[in-house]
Amino acid sequence: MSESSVIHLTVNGQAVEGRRGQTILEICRAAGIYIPTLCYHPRLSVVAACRMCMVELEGNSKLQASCSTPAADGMVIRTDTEHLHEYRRLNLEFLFSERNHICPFCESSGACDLQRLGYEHKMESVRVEYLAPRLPTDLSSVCFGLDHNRCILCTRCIRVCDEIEGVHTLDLTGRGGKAMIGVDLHTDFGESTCTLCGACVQVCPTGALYDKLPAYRGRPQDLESVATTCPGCSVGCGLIAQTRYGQVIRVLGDENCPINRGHTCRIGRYDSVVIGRKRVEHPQVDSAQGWDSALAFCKQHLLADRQKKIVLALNSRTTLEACVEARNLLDTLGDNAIATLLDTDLPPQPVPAPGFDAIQKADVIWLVNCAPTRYVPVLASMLRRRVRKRQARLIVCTRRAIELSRYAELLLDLGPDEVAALFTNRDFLPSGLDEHSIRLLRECLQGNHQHLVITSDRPDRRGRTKVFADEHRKALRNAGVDLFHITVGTNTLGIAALLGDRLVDRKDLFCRELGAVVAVVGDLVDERVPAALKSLTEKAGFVLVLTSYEMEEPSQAVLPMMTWWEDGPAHVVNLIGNIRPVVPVGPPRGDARPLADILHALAVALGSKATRRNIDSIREELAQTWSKREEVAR
Amino acid sequence: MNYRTHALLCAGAACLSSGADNVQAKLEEAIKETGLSDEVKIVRTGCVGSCDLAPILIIEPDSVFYQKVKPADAEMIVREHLLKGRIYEKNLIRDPDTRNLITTHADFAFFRKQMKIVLANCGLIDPENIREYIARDGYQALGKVLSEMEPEEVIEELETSRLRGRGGAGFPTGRKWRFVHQAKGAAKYVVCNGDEGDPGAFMDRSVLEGDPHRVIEAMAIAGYTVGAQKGFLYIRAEYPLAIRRVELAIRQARELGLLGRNILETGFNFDLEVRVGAGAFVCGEETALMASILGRRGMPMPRPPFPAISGLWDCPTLINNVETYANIVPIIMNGGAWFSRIGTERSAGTKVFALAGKINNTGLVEVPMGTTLREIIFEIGGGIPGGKRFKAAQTGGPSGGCIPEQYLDISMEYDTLSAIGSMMGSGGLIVMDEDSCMVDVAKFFLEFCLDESCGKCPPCRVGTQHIFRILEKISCGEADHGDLAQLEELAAMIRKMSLCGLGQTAPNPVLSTLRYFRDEYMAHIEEKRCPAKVCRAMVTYRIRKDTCIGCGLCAKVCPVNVISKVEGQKLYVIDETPCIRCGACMDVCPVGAVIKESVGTPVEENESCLSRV
Amino acid sequence: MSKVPVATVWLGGCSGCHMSFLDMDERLMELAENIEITSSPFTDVKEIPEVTIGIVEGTVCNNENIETLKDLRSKCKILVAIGDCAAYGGISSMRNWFPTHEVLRRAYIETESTVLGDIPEDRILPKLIERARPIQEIVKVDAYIPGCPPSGDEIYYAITELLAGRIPVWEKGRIHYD
Repeated sequence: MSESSVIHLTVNGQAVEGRRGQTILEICRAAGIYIPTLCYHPRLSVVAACRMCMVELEGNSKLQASCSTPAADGMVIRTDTEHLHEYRRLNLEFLFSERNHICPFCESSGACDLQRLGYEHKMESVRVEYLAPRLPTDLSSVCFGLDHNRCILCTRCIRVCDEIEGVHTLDLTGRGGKAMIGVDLHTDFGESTCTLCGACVQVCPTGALYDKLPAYRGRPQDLESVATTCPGCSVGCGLIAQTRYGQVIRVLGDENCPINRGHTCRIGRYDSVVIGRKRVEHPQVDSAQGWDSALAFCKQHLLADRQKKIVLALNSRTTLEACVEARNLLDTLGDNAIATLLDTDLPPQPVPAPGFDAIQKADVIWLVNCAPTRYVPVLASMLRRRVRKRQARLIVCTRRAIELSRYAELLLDLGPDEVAALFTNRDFLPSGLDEHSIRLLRECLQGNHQHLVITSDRPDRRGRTKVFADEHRKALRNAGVDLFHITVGTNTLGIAALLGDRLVDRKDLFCRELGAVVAVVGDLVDERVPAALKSLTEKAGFVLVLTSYEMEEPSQAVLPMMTWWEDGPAHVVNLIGNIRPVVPVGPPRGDARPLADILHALAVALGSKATRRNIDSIREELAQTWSKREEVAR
Repeated sequence: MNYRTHALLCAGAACLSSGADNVQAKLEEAIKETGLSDEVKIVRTGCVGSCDLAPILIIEPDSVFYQKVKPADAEMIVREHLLKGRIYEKNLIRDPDTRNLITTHADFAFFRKQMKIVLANCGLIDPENIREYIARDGYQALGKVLSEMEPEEVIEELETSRLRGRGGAGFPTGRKWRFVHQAKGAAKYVVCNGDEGDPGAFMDRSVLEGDPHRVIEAMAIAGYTVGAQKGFLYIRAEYPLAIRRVELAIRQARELGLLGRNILETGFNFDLEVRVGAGAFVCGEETALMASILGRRGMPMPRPPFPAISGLWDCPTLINNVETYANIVPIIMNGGAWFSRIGTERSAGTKVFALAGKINNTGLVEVPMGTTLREIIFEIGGGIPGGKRFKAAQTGGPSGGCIPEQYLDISMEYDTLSAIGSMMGSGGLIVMDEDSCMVDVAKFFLEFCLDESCGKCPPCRVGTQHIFRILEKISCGEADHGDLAQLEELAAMIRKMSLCGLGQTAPNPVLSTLRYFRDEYMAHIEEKRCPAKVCRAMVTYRIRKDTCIGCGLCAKVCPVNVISKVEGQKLYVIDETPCIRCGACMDVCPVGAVIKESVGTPVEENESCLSRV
Repeated sequence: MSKVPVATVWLGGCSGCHMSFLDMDERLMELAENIEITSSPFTDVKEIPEVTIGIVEGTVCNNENIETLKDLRSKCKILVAIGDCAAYGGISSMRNWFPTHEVLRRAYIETESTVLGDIPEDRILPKLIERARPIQEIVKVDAYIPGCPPSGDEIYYAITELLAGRIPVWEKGRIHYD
């Protein structure tokens, strides 16, 4: 911090320091001086709408909004006069009188900023008449509700939807006293462009936007909060899981996690909390009672037919620690034992993608054969933000339209080879382009732009995969183009690194005659998992299922597994190679055990003497594996 | 073609809505029939100003002023005046004091005291023909600036002129141009605020419709001075004629190389675009206006940063009002010193006022700053119709305040008006007489602000609703002193806490009327009486027995059938309780037998003003 | 020293605030030394006498409530609104989001447990006013005890403050709207 950028203010008689460019509010907050706010949010743009943060400035007869006024050296400010207190209280009374802000029957009571400010300003009555307009409630969304009667028009929801998630589904409609939050200009949430990321619910200061799942099951002050990682995809966002009586009631984005900074998506916030499914609480293995006899039974049957393959079918949520145990188990079972993933394909290039700042640096972003909104929604929001703020241009090269196509400047049907060719061969022009597209393409390629290619190498509908081969990779690297792979599946990258060539694609094993299958269903409730399981185990001799929830089709042997929320402390690695912690949020149900423990116990039962590995040694191993792979690629 | 006579037909808004097009059609027909087509040219001009006398026809070079010209009159004027040289007296103005006929408008009091600088061309040229503008030295100023002056010199000239922004705030124009000139940015922009939204104001409209090139030329000068190559004229959608004429003017200017690239071969590039509003008064506020230009919802943003530093697309942006721009060309041509000698010490130049309300000569007037209100109303405006007593004049529209009788001799300029709790505003001047109720006036302007509030901040969005409710209670006779005290408290808070000028000034009409007519408010509160007999809940209509002739017209027009004939008499009587006080009976009575009385009439529950909630 | 006379009424309320009053438990004995509860749902004395402190629970919902409230206001020096219903409208104001006739239909005809319902109408029955209103929209109020209900502790604090000649002030931590 250079000397000239330091500024000195006097706030309430106290000397305070700040930096040039900061607002009065930012400096006061950093110095611990309290100024009430409603519409202000540190992650969002400033609108100065609520008028709660007004302060007095010496030498200026007008009050200033501290959230939007840049601080200047020498300012003398008062934040706490009688006058300001009275005006803030009147402002609150205006808000309370405007719509339905009766607390006793509101879900957010106790966790509401408007209520809290009422208390802070000793508001014991509302001295103006209640206007009582009759406004609608929109409950059409599956995940949350919008009660316009509770809304104070702070516009935080609008701003987070526009500036963070990037879809701009919400905006203000109507004028003055008739203003209302509009969804896609007068649609209902259920039929709108809303991505159900729930960011609006998280930032809403009152009970206007509320999640349906936790509604009436516990107010925030009744809940325990634990910070953990999201199981939903390979971005590995930080989440806060809130529980009551050991059950996860609500999920929020962790504002302190640098990856997502409080943002999350439908998968993390809503789909990851399973309701309405019965848990498996005890081993259900033949007539065996308890874990020991269950494990003994399994050991026996696993080795029954050693001629055929033994398949350990993990899922993409398998933690690194469980992976290491899986490898150990495979070693113990012998050469016939292989592993696969039940819920996702194997990544063709299992090295971490360049960090998220590759996205922040890029001027032109190419999406080749991937669907970020579907598989890594928070990454998709990063792309939308950049493109909608005109900081980067988007070129989408997919066979079919994806959600991000609407933000694209160009839509091309190109494969990895053609994309690579564009960067290496100046004269190459894909066929069938109109003049406008050719001009745009040339503009993008000719300027001094930083390009980023994002791909996931997923097979298209007909099962064909166009992959970025090593030669393409080299070509892009030589042209200074970053290549970012989206790994599908929470810990797929880590699993691929640790299990290496012992991993086989699941489709290669469908309907084969197998000796035994150990299927780790875990807490996955996607319908495709039982379908895959069925194809895998059709001709298997012995099937052992490790699951949290009861399956529709019964199996020979079922062992109870902890859910993601119960598992830990453990780790997964995200698509850019960050090691992310899995923290137990609630106590296990019944006799459920972590996957790592179950696999270790199986291996021990089969005679293994290996000890448990800790995360540091795993981290080292991963680093080594990846650097070797990268060298090979080069 | 050498025309010997120009027939200037005013095609300003008032004249058009009074049928000027039909008059023109008749004129053309008559001129053709009398074989005068080669000698008489019809020129459609902008607003002449005396809107009360519409349609207006001025014959030059004879300088004869015809008022209230109907098509039949037009034919007679052609046959009598144009063909035979005899002035057609029927349509001349008659002086209200001497009762003499006035032939030329220079002799008419309405025009005599005016000084037309901004409106110099309005009423004289065809705004749809750039050549007429050029013939009156149009675009000379631009040429002078581009070839002989540096931007710094232009700014100095403006500062010497002491011109202040005419949009209402009165910020020194030269200083604003200097800020934008000095600001750093990738590009700069020049914007004209043509969103004139004050009810009753039509000054900017007349300039845009009557002399659009004056504004275009000024914006090009501004662009040169501050370093902008692009300008936007933001015109409200409710002025389609202004939009059409400005767009046409821009096209014509481009054709002649006066806009576009390499203007007048000096290498200066500047072009203009019209942006149309969408029916929001709040878009007259400069940050909301910019949001609207950018395609966003028209809501104000906090300042700082000010537009001069960071405006459109975060670039330095100059925003000035139409009338401000209209003053630039005369200043350049005649010099800043010339301009600063007009007007007063603190407010230089002239101001265009739109005179409306209870006044004989409604219309547009332009007077030097410092002219007194008395002169404007009684000398230029011709006084109050019907000989009624002046009560107050409202300036500044919904943001302004009223000027009561004791200030009739006030000098009309920025600072004197603010000192008494009003403001200059954009120039709307609404005159009220003894039959106006000041509570009702305050309610009218407040309701306007309530409707036009953008909804962003609670003090304005909710606060105006609350003070409006209190005013409603007062005008229904249901308020007490506590309500008045609360009204003042809330008004003070709304002024201090609102985000933009709309909210900050919305309480002004209320506070101003309270300041000067407190006794009138007290009558409503303490006596449940409306002294001006306007507030419906506190008046009653009665038929005077001694005047009524029993014609029954009142009963026929009564929309709620509460007037009935008295058995066996030539007399009608109004049933006061269900009477809705619409006044239709009073309007239709041929002998003036229906009178309005202030009575503390008990208002039935279902008629309470508040029961509509 | 004579006891301070107190009267209480409940309007459109659930009586929870009065129950909370009783939650002062043994402190009631202490207060009984200083105050005398005259007309109140507790004492079932119907006519309100002249009192010093009047306490009102519940929202103004019908025209009888208006009369009762005005009556108490005219007979007491200090009028206290107890509970969210009296202070803000509270639960009773939930009906303001629906037209009155719909509310009556729901209550008397459409509720699931009602058979052959009918909306009662009689000259002597109080009529619902259009909107349920907090009491200060009808009369001047001198002090408030917010809460739904306010706790026994809070009521005790308020009454002791009033007896000491002070209007109770609700600092953060002591005030709640639920």
